[in-house]
Amino acid sequence: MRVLTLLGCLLLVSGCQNLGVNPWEREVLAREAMIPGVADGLDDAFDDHIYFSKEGSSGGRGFGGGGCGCN
Amino acid sequence: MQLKKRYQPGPVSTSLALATCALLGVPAMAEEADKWQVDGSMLLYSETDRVSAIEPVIKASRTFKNESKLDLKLTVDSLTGSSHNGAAVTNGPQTFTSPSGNKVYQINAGDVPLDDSFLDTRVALSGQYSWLLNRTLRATSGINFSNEYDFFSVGANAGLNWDLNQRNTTLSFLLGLESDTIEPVGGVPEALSLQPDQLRTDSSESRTVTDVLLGWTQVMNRRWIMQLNYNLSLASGYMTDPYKVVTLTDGAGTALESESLGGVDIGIGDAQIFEQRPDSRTRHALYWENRYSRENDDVIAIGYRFMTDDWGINSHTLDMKYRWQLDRGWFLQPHVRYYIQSEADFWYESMTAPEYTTVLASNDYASGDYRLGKLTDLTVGLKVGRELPSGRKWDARLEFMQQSGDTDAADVSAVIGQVGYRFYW
Repeated sequence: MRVLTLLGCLLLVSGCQNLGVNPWEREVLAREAMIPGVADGLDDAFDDHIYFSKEGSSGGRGFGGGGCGCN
Repeated sequence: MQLKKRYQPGPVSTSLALATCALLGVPAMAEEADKWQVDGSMLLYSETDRVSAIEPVIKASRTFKNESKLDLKLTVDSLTGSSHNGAAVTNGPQTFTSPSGNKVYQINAGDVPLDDSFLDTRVALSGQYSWLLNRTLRATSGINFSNEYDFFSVGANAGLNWDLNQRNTTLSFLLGLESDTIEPVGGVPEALSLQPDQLRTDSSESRTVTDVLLGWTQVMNRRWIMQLNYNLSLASGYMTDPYKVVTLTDGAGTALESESLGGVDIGIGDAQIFEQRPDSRTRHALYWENRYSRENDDVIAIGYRFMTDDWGINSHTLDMKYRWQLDRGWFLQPHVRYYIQSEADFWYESMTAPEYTTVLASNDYASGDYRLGKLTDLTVGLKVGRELPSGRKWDARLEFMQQSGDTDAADVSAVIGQVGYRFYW
């Protein structure tokens, strides 16, 4: 299992070598609106807290419910 | 349109946000290195006939000259209003005790049973620090505290972000530990016992939560970035909601009487039992986010999450935003979120006396909390904001959420309003 996981990681990383851009091609990507977890600022934490306390699911984007007794 | 590059990570998701910043090679600007970036925001949340909340948040972030970063965040959450107590909507009136057990209240036939004594203030503090171990490896560590009248939580996290392929790929590993203490008003109720009997086992309970998050962030091309996360969450301890009950009915929609089951009589339709949930929960969540910038600088963001747990809940969440970039830093951002979940294995809208006998005999689990039943949620909203040349920024959003499920208790409408402002100090 460990060998398979390692093999999967190696394949993943080697596959990624064909993706991406050069350092001088990052102008669009460096915009705040393009950065996951940053683009929407505090909205993400507000939303995670709202939906954690109103639904049976949480996690994925980050983790934890922000230490809340609401669920 | 070239916009300023700013950091604004969140407390727990900080590590991944930092990973993405590192991935993009976003440099700390000289002016930022000497100043605190301060983000203040106020959330107003209001459900029709139920809970209202006001939640001010202030967050201060600073990037130091050695590229280490510090985030501090203070959240105050003030809630008031009525909350569903777990009971079913029945053909006749029902009688309940307040959470403390000192008062009795009645709900009319056909009404959703709501407890109107819901009142709490939560104060949460968190700090997150990240630093470079070498050119491609960044470490991060944080702590957080949260306190409410009947709940205290302390957590810590640590992780690593590893840049590969000329910083086009970042792999992230994050470990989080949380310890919660619950001190229910009136004490911990004896699970599955009749509410009118007011049997209490202890004054407090506790639980621990361990989270592991593996992240893969990938630059696909000059306009497209993708993030894929896997989150494993292992919770152990007291997961029951001490304020929720399950209604015992005759099977035709009328609540039974406590005294007919050997319990205390506090009024009509008072056969309500305290719920019981498993003392462990294992969740797996897979989250996939894509961001694509169009030629005109508009940004399309699509997020999808699949979650499954050993309570029998499976859920799908689709979140879509379109950032319409206007002149002079203005932007408009419509938002749609769609959520659907299956019910937990132990969810009951109501329970008959024979079912109760079986559950009690096997000390099985039972909950009538609509949040563990079938749910479909839809949120639509619009955000407007402006980024000013000085780096300051303000935004405001207004959203509407509608929940629906198999019971009337799940029909919740809410308005979400938020205003935010950023400055440097």
